[in-house]
Amino acid sequence: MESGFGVQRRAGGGSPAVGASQRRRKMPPRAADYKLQVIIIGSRGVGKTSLMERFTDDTFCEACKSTVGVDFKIKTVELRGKKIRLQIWDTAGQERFNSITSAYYRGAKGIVLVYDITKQETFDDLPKWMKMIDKYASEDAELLLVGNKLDCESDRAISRQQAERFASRISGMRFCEASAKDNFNVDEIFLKLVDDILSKMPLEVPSKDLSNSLLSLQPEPEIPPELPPPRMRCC
Amino acid sequence: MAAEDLPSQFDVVILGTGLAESVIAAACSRVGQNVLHLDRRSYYAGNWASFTFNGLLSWIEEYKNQQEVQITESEQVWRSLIDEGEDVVPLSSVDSSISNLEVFCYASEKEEETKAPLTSCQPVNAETVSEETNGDSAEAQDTVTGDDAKASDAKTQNEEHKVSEPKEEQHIPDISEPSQSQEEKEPQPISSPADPPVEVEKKITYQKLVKEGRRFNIDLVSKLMYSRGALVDLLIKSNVSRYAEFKNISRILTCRNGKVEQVPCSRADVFASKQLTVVEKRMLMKFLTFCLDFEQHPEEYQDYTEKPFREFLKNKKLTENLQDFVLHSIAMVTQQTLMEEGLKATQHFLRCLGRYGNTPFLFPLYGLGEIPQCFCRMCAVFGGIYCLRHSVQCLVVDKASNKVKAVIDTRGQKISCSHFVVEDSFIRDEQRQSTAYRQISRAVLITDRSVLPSESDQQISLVTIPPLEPSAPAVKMVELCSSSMTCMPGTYLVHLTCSSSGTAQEDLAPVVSQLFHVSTIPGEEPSEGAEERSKPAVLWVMYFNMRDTSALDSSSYSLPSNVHVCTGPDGSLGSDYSIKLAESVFLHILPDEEFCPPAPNPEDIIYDGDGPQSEGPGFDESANTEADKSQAEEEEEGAAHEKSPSTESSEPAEMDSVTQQAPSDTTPSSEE
Repeated sequence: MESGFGVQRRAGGGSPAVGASQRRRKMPPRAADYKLQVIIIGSRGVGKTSLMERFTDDTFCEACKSTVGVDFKIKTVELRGKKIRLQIWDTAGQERFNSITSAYYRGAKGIVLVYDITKQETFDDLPKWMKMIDKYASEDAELLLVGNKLDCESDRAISRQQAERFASRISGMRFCEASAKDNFNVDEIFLKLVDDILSKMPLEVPSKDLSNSLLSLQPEPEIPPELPPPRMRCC
Repeated sequence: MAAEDLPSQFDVVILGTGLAESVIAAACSRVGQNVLHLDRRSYYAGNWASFTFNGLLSWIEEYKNQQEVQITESEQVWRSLIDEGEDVVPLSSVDSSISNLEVFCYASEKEEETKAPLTSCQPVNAETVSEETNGDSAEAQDTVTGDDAKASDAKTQNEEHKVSEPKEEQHIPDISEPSQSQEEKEPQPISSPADPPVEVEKKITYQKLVKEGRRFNIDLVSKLMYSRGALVDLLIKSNVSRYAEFKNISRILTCRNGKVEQVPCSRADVFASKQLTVVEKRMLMKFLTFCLDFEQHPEEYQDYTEKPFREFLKNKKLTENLQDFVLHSIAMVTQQTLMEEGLKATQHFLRCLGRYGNTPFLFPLYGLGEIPQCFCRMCAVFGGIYCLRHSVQCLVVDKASNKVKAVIDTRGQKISCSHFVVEDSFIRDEQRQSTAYRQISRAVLITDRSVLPSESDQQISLVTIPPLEPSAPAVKMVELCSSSMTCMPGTYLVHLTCSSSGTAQEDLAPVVSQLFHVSTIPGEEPSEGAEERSKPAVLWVMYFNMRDTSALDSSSYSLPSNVHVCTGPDGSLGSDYSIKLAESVFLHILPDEEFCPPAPNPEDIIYDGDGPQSEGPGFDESANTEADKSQAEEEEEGAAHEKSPSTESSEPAEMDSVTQQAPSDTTPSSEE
C-alpha cells in the first residue's frame, strides 16, 4: 500500500531499472504528483461501497447487497494544482462479522467512517471503529465522518447535531452528511478529505529518511550481484 | 451491530488464520469456492501474529490463563443436529503450542525525569538513578503486566499524567536534554563542560514502552523473506503483494570471537571486506561463483553426495574461517546437513542477492503478522467470509464414507462443507499418531541501540550466530529498526530463533548475554567497563518455545481424508515450507485448478492523452479490473467500468519493467 511517495520515487529513480522501464513505456501522460490511500470503514450496509462507487464511477446500484470482488478503486483528481491519484479501499465485507484485519488500516492517509442516518445501531457502532483506528491506523490519518443515506431524510434516526457532537470529540475529525444514491455531497467529501491530507503534507518530500525506503514487490529487473551496491553502505 | 447469521453451507471451512491456512483460503476463494474462514482468537494469524506491546502483554496473560473449555451447555441442542449415520470428532479448545514463556523487564520502572538532576548521563548519574530505583522496583522478574502495573500503579498514574501533557516538547527543568524524543543521539549541551562528549540518551522506562506500545509490532515468528523464495513469488503472482510494503534487510552480520562483524554478500562486499585475507577473498569468490551454478560442474561435487556439507567445504580447501562463514552465514545449515542441501542453500542465497537490494532478504512493514492478513483479504475480496472469535467444536463425519460433511461451530450451528482445513493446534491428542514434536526457541528483545552501530540507525540486520558450543544450535537474530514500524523510535526490536535443545531461556540467554548488556537491576546503566557499556541494553525480553509441527504430515493424524491439517511455523528462515504446504493442500482439494493465479487483465490500459494512468504495471491495476470484472459479472455493469479509464489506472512503480507479472496469461507490455 503505497503512500504519497510518488514524487520522491520518481525523482530518485537513479537505478538502471527505471531507465529500462521507461524505454518500454509509451509516452506517458503527466504522472500523478501524489498517490494517496484512503480507506472506508463502517458497519455493514451503511453504504460504504456505494459512496466509493459514486465517487469513482459515478454509479449507484440499489440492488447490490454485498461487496464481493471489490478490492479498491482509483480516481485521479486535481487539487491545489497537483494531480492526485486516490486509491480508495473497500473492506471486502470483512466488517460483517467484525473481522476487519489490522493490516487494512495501515498506510491509509485518510479514513472515511460511515454510518447510516436511518439506522441507530450503525451510529452506536462508531466508538468501536474509533478503537480500531486508534489502535492500527497512522496517527496522521485524516478522519472524516459521513452520515450516509441523506436521501432517506424521512427515516432519519440520528440528528446532525448528535453526529457533530461525536465528531467534535475527536480531534481533527470532520463531519458531513451525504447521499450516494442522490449523488449529494459525495465528491465534496472525498475532495475535502484529500485537501485536508494535502494541507498536512510537506511541500518538499523528505528524501533522507526514506532512502532505505519502502518497496512494493514489483517484478524487478535484477541487479546482478556483480554491480556495486546501489546504496551507500555503512561501515 | 445486529447479530449476523452465518450461512450454513460452504465448500471449504478453514479454522486458523496462520500463513498456510490463509494462503489456502485465498487460493480456494480465488477460484470460486465458498470459503468460511474462522479463528478462535480475536486477532488474525495465530502463531504468525504480531502484537503491539500491550497486545503482547495480553497474549501473555491469555497464555497463562488457558483452560480447556468444556463442550458448551448447548451440547444438547447441537447433539440433536447429529444424524444416525454421523459421528462426532471433537476439536481442542486449548492451544498448547506455546510453552516455557518467561518475561524479564530491565527497563527502569520508575519515572526518571524528576529524579536526580542529570547533568550528565554517565555512570555516576546512572548509579544515582539505579540507587533510587533499587529500593522499590522489582528485580528482574518473570512477571506480566498485571504485577508490574500493581506494583507501580501510583507511579504509572503520575507518569502517564505527566507525560501526556505537552507532548514531545516537555521541558523538565532539572534535566539538560530538552525533549522526550528517544532517538536523540547528538550530544546535548551539558552543564559540566569537562564531561566527555558522550551520547546523552534518555533512559527508556517501562511506562514509556507501555505508553508507546502501539508503535510496536512484535511477531511471534521470526522469519525473513527470501527475494526469490516461494512467499515472495506467490505474493507477486497472486497480486497479494500490493496489500503490503516491504523493506530490505540492509545488512547481514555475524558474531565471531565475540565481535559483531559484517558478512560480505556480494562480490563487491567480498573484495571490500576487511575481515578476509586476500587469499581468502579469492578462495571465497571462486567458491561462491561455483555455487551459483553448481549443477553445471558435477565433477566438483559428485564424490560428496552423501557427505556433510561441512566436509565438502573443508575439502574445497576453504579456511576454517570461510567454512564457518559459508556454513552459518550464507547457507545457514547445520554441521550435519548434507552437501547437496548445503549447496542448494548457498545457491539460493546468492541468487536472491540484488533482486531488491544488497541482501537476499525483505521484511514486511509492520511485521510478518501482516502477511497472513493480506492473503485473508484476498480471500474476502473473492467472497470469503471471515469470523474471528469463532471456532469449531467438533467435526461431523459421515460414517459410511468416513469423510467430514459438516462442522459444529462454537455457537452450536451445523455448517456443512466438503473440505475442512485446520491448523494443528486444534487437533486433540486422541487424533494424533504421535505427540513427539520439535520445538523452536524464541526470544524477543527490546533494546536501545544496534549491535553494530553505523552511520544510519535505520538498519535491519540479520545476524547469524554460530553455535557457542558444538552441541548447541546456531542462532539467527533479526534486529529491526523503528522504520520497519515494529518498534518505537529510539529502540530496536530484536528477534532470536533457534531449534530447541532446552527451554528458550536456556538456549538463548547465553547469546543474549554475549551480545547485549543485561542489567541485574532494572534501569541500571552498565558500569563494568567500556566493552559492556558499548553493548546495547536489553530493556525487556520475552522467551518462549513454540511447537514446530512441520515434520508432521497427514499420516501423523487419524482424521478423515477431507480434513487437511496445516502445521504451524517451521524453524527455517524463509517461509517456503508453509507456502508449499498450502499449495499441496490446495491441490488435494482442487486438483484441476490453478493455485493463486494472477488476476487476468481483461482490458488493456486505456491510454488517452490526459488519462491518469501511466506509471506502471499494476498488481492493483489488474486486480482492480478483475474486481470490476467479477462485480460486473454480477451486476452487469461492465460498460460502466469500461467508460471510466480512471479506475483502470495502475500503480506507479519505481523499478518496474515487466508490466504484468502474470507469466503467461497476459501480454507482457500491453499496458505500457
